[in-house]
Amino acid sequence: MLTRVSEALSRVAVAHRAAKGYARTRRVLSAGSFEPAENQPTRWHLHLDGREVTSTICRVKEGGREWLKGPEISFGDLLHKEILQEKCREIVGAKSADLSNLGVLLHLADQVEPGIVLEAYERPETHFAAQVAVRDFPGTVVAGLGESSVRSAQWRTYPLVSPERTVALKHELSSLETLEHLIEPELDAKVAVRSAPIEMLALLLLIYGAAIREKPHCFALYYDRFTVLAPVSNGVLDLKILPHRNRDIPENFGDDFFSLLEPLGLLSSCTLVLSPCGSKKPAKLFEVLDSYAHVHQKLVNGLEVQIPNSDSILQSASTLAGEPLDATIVQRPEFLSSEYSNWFGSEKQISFSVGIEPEIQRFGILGRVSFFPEDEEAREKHLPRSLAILLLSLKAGRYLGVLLLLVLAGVLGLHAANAYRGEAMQLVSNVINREKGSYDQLNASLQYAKKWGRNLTPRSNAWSVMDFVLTLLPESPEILCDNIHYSMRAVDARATASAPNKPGGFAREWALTGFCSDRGREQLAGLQENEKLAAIFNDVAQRLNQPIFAVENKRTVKAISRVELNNQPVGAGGQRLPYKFSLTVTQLIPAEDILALPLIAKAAKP
Amino acid sequence: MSNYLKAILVFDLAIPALLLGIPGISLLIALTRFDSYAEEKKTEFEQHVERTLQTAALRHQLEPVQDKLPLLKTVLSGRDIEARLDRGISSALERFSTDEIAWTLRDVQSGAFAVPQTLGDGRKLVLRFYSRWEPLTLAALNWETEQPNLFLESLTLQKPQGASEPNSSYLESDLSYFVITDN
Repeated sequence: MLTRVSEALSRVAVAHRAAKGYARTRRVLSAGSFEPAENQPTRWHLHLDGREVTSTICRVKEGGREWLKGPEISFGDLLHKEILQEKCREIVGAKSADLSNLGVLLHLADQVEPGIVLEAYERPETHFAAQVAVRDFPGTVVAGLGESSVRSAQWRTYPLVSPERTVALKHELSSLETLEHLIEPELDAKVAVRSAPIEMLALLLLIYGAAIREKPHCFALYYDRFTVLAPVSNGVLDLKILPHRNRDIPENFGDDFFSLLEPLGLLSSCTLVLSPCGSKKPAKLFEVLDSYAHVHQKLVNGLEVQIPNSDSILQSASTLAGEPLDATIVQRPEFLSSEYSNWFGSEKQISFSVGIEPEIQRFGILGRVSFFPEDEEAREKHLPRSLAILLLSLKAGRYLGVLLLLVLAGVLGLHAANAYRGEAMQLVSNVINREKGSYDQLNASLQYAKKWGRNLTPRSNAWSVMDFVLTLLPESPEILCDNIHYSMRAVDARATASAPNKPGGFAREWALTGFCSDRGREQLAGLQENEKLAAIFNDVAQRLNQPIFAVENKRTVKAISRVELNNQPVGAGGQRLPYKFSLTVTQLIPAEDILALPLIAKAAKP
Repeated sequence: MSNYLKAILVFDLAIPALLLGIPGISLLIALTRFDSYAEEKKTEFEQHVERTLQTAALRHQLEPVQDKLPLLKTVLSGRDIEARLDRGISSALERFSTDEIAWTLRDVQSGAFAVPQTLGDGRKLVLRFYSRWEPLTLAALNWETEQPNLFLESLTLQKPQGASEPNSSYLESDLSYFVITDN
């Protein structure tokens, strides 16, 4: 289990390394990075005929293209990664390995092999399905291949609309390994492999388009190792590959030629274009045909033969391009069909209409079909732009995250520095606690002092109570007291019931009894006058410095006396006095009075 | 899912999210907590400064009573109260001869104060004297000054019953005090 996880992680890590290589910022932001080879600013065209390599460079410059001689390179060099890489670097002119702006287009004319397309893909309309299937599983499209496929042998299909059939062609990619090296992330060159004969046919269709409309043509593309025969009337009628098999010309060229054209009825009126595509002149082909027709008594009166030279094709192409093309630099007409794709119309997808115009368009598109492997493995290796952008965005997000972390750390540091610069953070908790303790103790002491100081304010003392009695009834023979009773009681119901937090009012009461004379009786009656009584209270308050006696605010005082005849027998106390009296003096201290009794929730001592 | 996508999700999303997310969240939490802590410290400091000022004000307020506070606490203390009351009263009576004032009863009981819900429950001191008017007044002044926690609830003064001398200046006095304590 652990091994499987480790292997999977290792695979993902390798993929990640590759992805990072493809997703370099400059590459992702560069417009051409994800474009094919033919859209790169610099295109290196290589034509391989099996022996020699033709090398030409085409650069995009303001207002057109610039053709340059390419670096000299041999067929053997194409098989060496280092040499090919070095040549690429030479073209780009950079010391770095980055070849991202270079497109390498290899035009193969070394050998081409036809195949029989299976019935399922034979009709031209199935072309789109066929071209996908043939890349991944060529055996499902081409007969006799079996299930296994070799990446260095690539098949592509070509729909022939007029005869309603499809042909398949195979190119061997002997330099596949070196070409794949060029597309590695660190080099990032763009590579395309084209079929030179198809490109040539497309170009000839274009050049001879007008002539074909008047008379059927048969193109014989004479390469060094094979000859392609393509009869064209209202479209390409067939595509025949005739290998030379180590000879200068195909072995049975006459048979092949006449057996191809006779059934099509083209011998009566046809132009045979013997196009020189290799190093040899096609006159030999003509000689073979001529002797064959003579020997086999073929009627070839309607057959017109044209043998254009390479320069004439390039001149025609110059006319199409609207600019002079130097044949010594461009060298190969096949390069032009890649460079001037607009000659073949603006359509990206092939149509299946019959006629010369659609055929020119169709072969223009088919000429640009690349034989470079585009199977599942290649697609897996290719990092799509969307993923590259995603990777870059995540990378940017990562930097942003790091920046955010640094900012956060900075903010934290700043906050800490600011906080510790102030006094608040330096204040030791001991100091706070000590101060708090001190405050609490002082506060408790103050509350205690306030509370108990107020509670201990004199309200009811024996000495002042007795002194008041003397002030109320000074010693005199007219009044004789025999009993004095002082008490205090609650009076304010609010303090005792519904308003427990309200200080309680109270009443002080003096009850005196004794004997008096007539004058004493008058004196007692006088005490019932409130003003007189209040004056006595106030006098005591002032003299004794006892505010409880003061009659102020809502305090009230009241005296009630009752006098009756002294019926007691003579000899009792007060025998000389005729009256008995009782006097009750009440002082009310209301609940809202400053000296009313406060409620006490007995608190702990500080 | 392509290997590239897997690789990107693992190495460019999941791992960085972990590596940046954990310290990021930690830093955020640290920042938030530190700010709260600093704010708390600041508040604590402000409270401390305010408390320092209040303490100074309290000291100033307490200055006049500071010296009296221990005495107040002693007076209000319930500990050993009966002995202290006895000592106080005895001390007040020492100035007088027994002819002038005689202490005939001393009783301490538990009971509620005459005005409910104010001073609550506590001790009640009941005293009885045989004395003349003036010595009693002076003695009471004395012990009530020394013992300001004595709250007179009732006082009865009367001629002694069956006195042999009808015009005698002696009085029988019953005093009932509520003893205020802080516990």
